[in-house]
This record gives sequence, structure tokens and C-alpha cells, in this order.
Amino acid sequence: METKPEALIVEAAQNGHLASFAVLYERYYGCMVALAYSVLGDRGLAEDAAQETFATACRNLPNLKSKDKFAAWLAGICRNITKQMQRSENRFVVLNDDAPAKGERDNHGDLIRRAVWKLRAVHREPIVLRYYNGLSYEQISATLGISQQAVHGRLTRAKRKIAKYLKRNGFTGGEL
Amino acid sequence: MNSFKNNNDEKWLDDLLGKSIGSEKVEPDFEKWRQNHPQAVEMLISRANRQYSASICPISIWRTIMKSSITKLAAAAVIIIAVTFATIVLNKSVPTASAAQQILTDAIKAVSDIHSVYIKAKMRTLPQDNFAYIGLALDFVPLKMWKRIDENGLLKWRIEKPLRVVAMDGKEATLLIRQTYASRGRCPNFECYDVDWCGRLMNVENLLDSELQKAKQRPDSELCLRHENINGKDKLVLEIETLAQGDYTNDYIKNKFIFTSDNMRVYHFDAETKLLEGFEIYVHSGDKDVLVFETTDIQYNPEINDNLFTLELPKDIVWNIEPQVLPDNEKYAQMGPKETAQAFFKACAEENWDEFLKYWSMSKADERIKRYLGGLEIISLGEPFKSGRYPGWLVPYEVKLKYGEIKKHNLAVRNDNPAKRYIIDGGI
Repeated sequence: METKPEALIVEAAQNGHLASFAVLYERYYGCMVALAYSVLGDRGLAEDAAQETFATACRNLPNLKSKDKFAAWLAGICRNITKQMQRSENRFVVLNDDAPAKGERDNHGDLIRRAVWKLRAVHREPIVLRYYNGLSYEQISATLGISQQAVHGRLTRAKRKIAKYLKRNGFTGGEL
Repeated sequence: MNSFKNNNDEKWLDDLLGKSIGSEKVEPDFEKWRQNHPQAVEMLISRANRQYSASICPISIWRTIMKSSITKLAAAAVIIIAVTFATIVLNKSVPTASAAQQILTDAIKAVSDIHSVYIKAKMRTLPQDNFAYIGLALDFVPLKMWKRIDENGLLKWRIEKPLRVVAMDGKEATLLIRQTYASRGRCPNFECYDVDWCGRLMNVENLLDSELQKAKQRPDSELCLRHENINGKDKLVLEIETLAQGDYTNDYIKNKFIFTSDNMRVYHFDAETKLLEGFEIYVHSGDKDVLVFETTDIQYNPEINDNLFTLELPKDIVWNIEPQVLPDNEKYAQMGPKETAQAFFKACAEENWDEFLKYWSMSKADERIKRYLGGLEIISLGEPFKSGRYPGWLVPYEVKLKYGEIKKHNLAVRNDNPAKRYIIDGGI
């Protein structure tokens, strides 16, 4: 099948072409789950948020002006929905050292997750997008609406912060 | 090796992050999502259906003959729209409607030598009532509109029906009702006295474009632009279906005003000049379409006497005034819609006209209103309700007038004024 530029697929979806919307859903569902997970820290809730994100997008698609920024627009919807879910469930996911992550598997994992969720959103989002579901730089770039170079920069800075946090908490790479 | 000594060596951290926050691959299931969100899907698909209805019309434009540059531009625009819509429907491909609309807008801008217009029409309305008021069972009342832009770009206009006229002299608009009541105020873009729809009609230079833009912005609009050849002349017919805006759980206000009706507006344009040649509004009511407005004559660039844009007001005019904050304003501001209706009718019953004016935004209670409402008896008041997008409340009432007539109606009250107290806005 011929690959169409995404803006064309978006415009077709805006005009009610359901199959085009399905293409966008398949393409970005994983990104939205990862993005929601970066806030909610729970797979089930993140999937709920992603599904609601697409429902909202479906209803509001005609309002999207920049068709080449669909993923970033979608991410904005996803952030709003996850914030609402967080407020409604009064969830605070691993934001302090006393709150363990859900589904913790081991002490290292717990410490790592704490380090990640202590990051500001600007750094936490690319980290979770990259490692939660193995998204490519291209996918992260589209979702966050930034260049691939900026993605690389944010990931590098985020990892340095994580490394520092681990070091402060007595963890070294040699313990692996 | 301790990896913290070498920040470039991030592989250990990559592995650790992958193990700690990694997840099983997320598998999208669009079909399941679709089943779980039928309303959202329906909204999406309905857009395709709307465009299908639009796509039927413009096909005949292919037959449009290129007679002038304007025709060429317009035809090109319409062809693009037609091809766009047809492409969506037939090939499930991708539209470029925005490009088509831009060309059409440019074509319409080319028609810029209209400095005055005079429109005669007929409308199912009451001769003294609001300019947007309609009644499907009412007889037609004549309506006239004038608009002129002078050499300095100053806009003046006038709209009138037998017992109601509004004239804008370039600075202010003055409204006169029954030669008795008047109101005055600035009126940019025809946004006063419910004449904005008349203003749009008289804005012939970009009427077609503005309607297309408006339809584009409103998801509940459905438009059809088609070509006709009448007696050898090319015509463009634009039909726009519009749904009433607002909540009609209580549909009292439905079909009482143009903007509270589900209607179809039909514009007839000359294909070459893009000038409006005719206009109708059909209100959808049950299984009937009722013609409520129709132009009978449209003249371009007529000479219009400047006197037409000013009104000579009779002596002892009763002015509409904006409610002011009273010394005891708090007492009135605390009243709800029903209490206001009760207090208003009580003032009428007691012929306490000073108190009456606390609820009546006029400079005085004139003899006509005193005769009509003075000494009435309140039979009952119902619970206030809302309808459509009316910003105030409607209070059902039944009163017995002094001369024996039983009047059962809904009193319209609103408090979106500087004094924040409810004022009678209609329903008398």
C-alpha cells in the first residue's frame, strides 16, 4: 500500500474517513499509552487514558488546524486526560521517596522508577516513551512535537539526572 | 567498572531502564475501540455523510462556461470543491477544500464596486416585533433594508418594517418602535437589535464567502453550492442548512426567531458578478418547510437620500435605558426570576409605576402600558425555565387584565446588565 503523508491521512479523517482514523489510531496508540503511563504509572489506567484520548480526538478532529502536527495535538489531549484522571483518582505516582511504584519488581527497579518519576515532565516523558514501549526517536519526536535532535538531548540530560539520583542513593552501575 | 565515572557509557543505564519501566508491547485494537466509542465514531462518520450531500450539487459546475475572469475564478473554485468532495466520497482520498475556499474568497473580493444596496422583502413576523422574530402561522409583513458606504468609507444603513425601524447614521443606531419607544447605541457590524442577519444579507461584497466560512466553522451546517442556467444566464445557488443553537429541552423559543429555528437559507447569485439576486429562508417544522422570508427586489448602487439614515423622533418619546444601580439595588439583585415576575405584576396590579420601573428598562411608564397592565390580577405564576440560547429565564404566568381578558404567556427576564437585577425583556 502506498504510504501517504500523514497530513493527508489526517485531513481524510477530518472529513469522516474512518479507515484513515484507524491508521492514526494504530500508529499512535502505543505512544499515547506510554505518555499516559509517564504520568499515571499504571498500565491499565494508561490504556484507558489512551482510548479516551482517541475518543476526544475523534470528536474534535475538525478543530485541528495544523494537520502535520497531529501527534503533538493528540499528546496534548492525552496530557489533559491523564491530569484529569490523576485528579479524580487523587493519584500521586512515585513522586517522593516514600511512595513505591506500582508493580515493583525489585529494589533496583524501585529505585530506578523513583528516579524517573522524580524527573520533570519535560525529561520524564521522553524517557518513558523510549523505554516503556521501545519507541523510536522518530515516534518520540512526532509525539512531543520536537526535533529528533532535541529528543536525543532530552534523553541524554534525563539519563544524567537519573544516574546522579542513583549515585546519591548509593547505587552504582557495578551492582548490576 | 563504576559507570558513573563515564557518562558516555550509558548502556548499563539503558538496560536498567528497559528492565525497570519496560513493558510488554502495547497492541492497538481499533475494532474494539470503535465498538466501545460508538458516539465518537458516529460523529466522525456523520461528517463524511454531510460532505456527501454537498458533493451532489456542484457536479453541474463542469458545464460552466468561462466567460469572464471572475467566472473563471469562481468556476475554478467550485470545480475544486466538487472534485474535492467527489474524491472523498468516491476514492476515499484526500481533500483540499481550504485551497478551494481561498480561491472562492479571492473571486468574491474582486466584486468591490458596490457602494449601496436596497432590498425589499416580505417576512412572516409581527410589524412591531424584534427584527429576527418569526411566526410560522403569521402573515407576511413588508421589510425594507438600505445600506450605503460613502466615499470616506462611512457605513450607514436602515432597516424597517411597519411599526419598527432602526437607522444607523454612521455613528449610532437609533431604534424606534410604534413611534413611541426608542433606543440608541453603537452598533458595530450590525450587532444590535437582532439585525445581524440583515447586515449579513446587505454585505453583498463578501456574502457568499462569509456564509461559506460560517458554514465551515459550524459543524451542524450543511451547505450545497450548485449551478443553474436560467434563461441562458448562469446562476449560483447556495443552500445552507442550519440547526437552531442551544438547548431545546423546553422548546418554547424554538422557531420564534430566525436563529432559534432549524432552517434552510437559499441565496441566488449571479454567477458572473457574484451579486445576490434573491434570498429565502425556509423553516423546517415537522414535515413541512415554511417560507418565512423572501426578497422581492434587490437594487445595487441606487441613490439613497442621506435623510433616510437619521430618524426624526416624536416628542415625549419613551427611551429604553440600561438598568442603573439603585440605592437599594441589593434588594432587587437578590430576587430570582420568579420573585421578579411576582413583584413586577404586583406593581402593575397596584398601579405603582415607580416600582414598575424598577423592572422595566424604560425612561417612564407610558399611558399605553398603564392602560394595558394597570389593575391586573395575578392568577398564577409557574416555575421559570430556560430555552435555546436565551440568556435569561422565562416565567410562565396567567393574569386577568383590567378589562377582563385572561392573558397566559411567558415573561422573559434577564439580569445580564450592570445592575445585575432582573429586568422584563419580553412576553408582555
